[in-house]
Amino acid sequence: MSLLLPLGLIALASLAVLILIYIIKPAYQKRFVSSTFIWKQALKRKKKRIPISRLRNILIFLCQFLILTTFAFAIAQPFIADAQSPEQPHLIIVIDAGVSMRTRNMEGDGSNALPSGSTRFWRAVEGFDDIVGAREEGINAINDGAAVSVIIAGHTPFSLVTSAIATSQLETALNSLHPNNEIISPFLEFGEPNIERAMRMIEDILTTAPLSDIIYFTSIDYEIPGNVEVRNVSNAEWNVAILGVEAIRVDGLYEFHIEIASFGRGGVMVPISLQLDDVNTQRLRAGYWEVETYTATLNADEIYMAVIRNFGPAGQETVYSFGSATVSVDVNDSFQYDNQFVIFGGRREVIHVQYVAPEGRHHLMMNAALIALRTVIANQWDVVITTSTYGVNFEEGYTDVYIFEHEMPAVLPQGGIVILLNPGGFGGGIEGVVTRRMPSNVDMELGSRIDGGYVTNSNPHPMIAGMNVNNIRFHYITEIRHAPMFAPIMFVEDNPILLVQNTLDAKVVIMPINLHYANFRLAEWPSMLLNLFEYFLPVTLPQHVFDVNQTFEINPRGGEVGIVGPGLTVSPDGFLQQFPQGISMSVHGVHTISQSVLGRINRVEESLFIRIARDQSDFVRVGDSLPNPLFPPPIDDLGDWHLLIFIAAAFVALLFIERLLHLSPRI
Amino acid sequence: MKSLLNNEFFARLETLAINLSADLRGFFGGKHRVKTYGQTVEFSDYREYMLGDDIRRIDWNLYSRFEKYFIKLFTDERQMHLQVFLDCSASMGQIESKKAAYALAVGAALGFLSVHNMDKVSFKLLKKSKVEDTGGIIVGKNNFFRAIKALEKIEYKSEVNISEAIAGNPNVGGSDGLSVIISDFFSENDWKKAVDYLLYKKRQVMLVQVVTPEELDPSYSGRTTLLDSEAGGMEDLKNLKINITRGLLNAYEEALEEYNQEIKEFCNKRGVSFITVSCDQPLEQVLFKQLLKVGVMS
Repeated sequence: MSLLLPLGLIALASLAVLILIYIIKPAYQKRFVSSTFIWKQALKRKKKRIPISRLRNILIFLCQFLILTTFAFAIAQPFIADAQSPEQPHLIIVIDAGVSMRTRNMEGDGSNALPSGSTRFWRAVEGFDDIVGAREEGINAINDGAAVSVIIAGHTPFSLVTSAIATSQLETALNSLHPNNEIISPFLEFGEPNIERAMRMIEDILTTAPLSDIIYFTSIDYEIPGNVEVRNVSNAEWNVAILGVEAIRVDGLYEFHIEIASFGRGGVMVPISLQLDDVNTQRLRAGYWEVETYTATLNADEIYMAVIRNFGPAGQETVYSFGSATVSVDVNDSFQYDNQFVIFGGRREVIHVQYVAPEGRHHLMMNAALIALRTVIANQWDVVITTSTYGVNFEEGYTDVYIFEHEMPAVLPQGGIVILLNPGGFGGGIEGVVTRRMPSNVDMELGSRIDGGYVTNSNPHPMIAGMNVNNIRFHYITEIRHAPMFAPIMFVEDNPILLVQNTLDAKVVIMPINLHYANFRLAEWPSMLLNLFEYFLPVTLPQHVFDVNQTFEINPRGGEVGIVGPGLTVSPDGFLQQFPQGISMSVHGVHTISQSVLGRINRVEESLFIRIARDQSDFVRVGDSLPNPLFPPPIDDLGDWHLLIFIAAAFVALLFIERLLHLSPRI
Repeated sequence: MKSLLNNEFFARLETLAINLSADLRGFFGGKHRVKTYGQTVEFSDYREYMLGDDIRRIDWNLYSRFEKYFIKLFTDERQMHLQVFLDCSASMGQIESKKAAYALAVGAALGFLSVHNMDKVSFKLLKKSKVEDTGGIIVGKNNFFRAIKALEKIEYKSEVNISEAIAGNPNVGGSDGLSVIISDFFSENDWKKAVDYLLYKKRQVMLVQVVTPEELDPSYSGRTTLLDSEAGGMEDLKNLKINITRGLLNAYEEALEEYNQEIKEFCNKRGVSFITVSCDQPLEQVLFKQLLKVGVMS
């Protein structure tokens, strides 16, 4: 049960008034009398003389009368009629504005082909025009003065016209759908129609016009259309669609699996073109690209899987790395938007890690942990590890992650993530060998070496996620007296032993401990390094292919993030500031996200492809059941109101029983 | 209950007598003259001698004048029987003890006048649907005062059906005296049948309505629950939950007046005496004014 006007419940405040009346009403005083015989005679006389005064003595009766009246009105569901009454004919027209409604036949051969004829959307609007002009038989609602509402069902449906009665108003709406007779309506989208949301909008109209007729112009049929009249405006179009492309690594080499189908026409010879960019690059042949053409004969409405593994005239070329792979078909079908598909992610970005320690003091556990880390994140990053000694073969630049142990650099390297281990330089014969403690451009004051212990407390932070830090013991630590720019994460007593600075200009981790005097469990140190990589080098995109209007999350590792593409162009200055953030693209095609990363001169770019939803490419698809709006129950179908009627009847009966028992015999 | 029946009161009553109808028959030995001819010394009339008459009563003076036998007739005096029916319902005494005392005093006063005039008296208590005859027929002042002592212990409770009680009583007598019903007559029961029944038995009937000043002019107002003294409990329908306004009080006054007028008309049609007395009236005023006025007393 729902309320047409929930605010009406404010009227329940009148109950407070009723209670107040009962409170302030004086109580009856009791008087013993010999006989009430004459009093009854007097009441009879008074009743005969002034019948209306009787009502003054029956306040309860009046209240009950009011309650029953209210009850009766509630059952009757009163409402204030809007521009029209429910009895007035009402027509609701829903027009699919999804990408499939852009379908339009092509004329000509190859690249010279041109689109011809009208789009499906155009035909839907013509259908609407027929209704408005009352030219269509069976639809005479307009002539009867019916109201018409029009909903454009795109990704975010909206009402073009609500309860319009004047024909001129509808004509204006019609013209706005195709301004200046443009074939492609500005209302057409590249995504799927949100028909469920459109139906919810219809429910709002049905509350005031429950007897509405609903017509849905779309391009497919539904097995169960329900109470909605579906008008399929498709017209023998056909579509060759690349439904998906996947690059699968087999033995280190890529295979390209291409899903393709021809909907609505069979026996079609389709030349499939695969163009690779930056094939096998990075360290071998930058800029090299390959084009492979593959011709397939497609049966109608069957999905065909093409697999391409070898390239070149003799098929001897293989691919172990690529920047992008563009698959396209050159056919003059009715729907061109799914004739090209681009995938990315065939190339791992190289991350340089430089481990810097005094000669002969490189820690075995550090080396082992780095190698393990390289294996774990091999699918995302190509990690290159080098070891060096400061002042001997240390090289600044071209490094993404610096790890300094025991001996600190004079100044922090510009760019890159810097990890400073044991800046106090204590333990294992280091004392005396190491003279440089903290880089000059780090605002931190170190104290002396003090006794350590188990980690006593910690602040929640991604760097220690999934770790049981209380089991880690440090025998000695270097006291840190002043570190205003760093966020402390782990503590032994009150002494911080893990501090992090993460700004756009500086990404620094400091641990004033010596790994020689630390009891890490076997997996904990590699876990901490993995957390560090994921924290400072997050995966910007979870994948590289999304549907139109699909919301996905971007989590850049740098700053000044910008995005460029047919659906969205945002400069770094005006782009997103809070990460991770959900974003969606409303236009299909290739989009590129760029960001500034420490240690990289050029902005790091990463591309993604926004594809047409598979359902929109499938021209022979038949929907199961069309979501229908909830129609208000007919007036003669009382449903749950039976209960209320029963209560009302009981209320009336109680009222009269009370009258018979208490009031009538006394007067 | 302070008794109104003291020596001073009875001393004043000795100057009065009940005036009864001459149509009554009564018994021999009383002081009430009746229409029939009797053996008193007071001459009444002559009639011709008839065979069987006592020749000693022939007036020879008239014989000498008319040469016909005439005998002298003398008035007769009979002893009457006063029946006092006293309403013993709760409305008569449970709330206002003064009302009960006053009713009893009126009954006792009438009874005293009767015994003082050599008549018989019987006090009959109306309780529920029955008549309780206390003391039987009283003759003589000594017996009377004993009976009065006993009457002062009456309990007033529950409701009384006057008609059923009187009509069901086998000893209401015949045309030998006066029956007095003392009540407030505030009852939904049809007490008028009792009056008709007594008249049918050729009794002279008098109704005495005893009311309190509060009943004549109620002093309370506002939202009031009136608890009837004859009600069985709080939920009894005799109780009333009303808002007493000036208008309702006026209606009460009119209703009371109308009710009394109705009783008067009823009584007038049947030659029944009716008086209404208020408890705050001096008893002497009732006896020496109202009873004299209606002719019951002389």
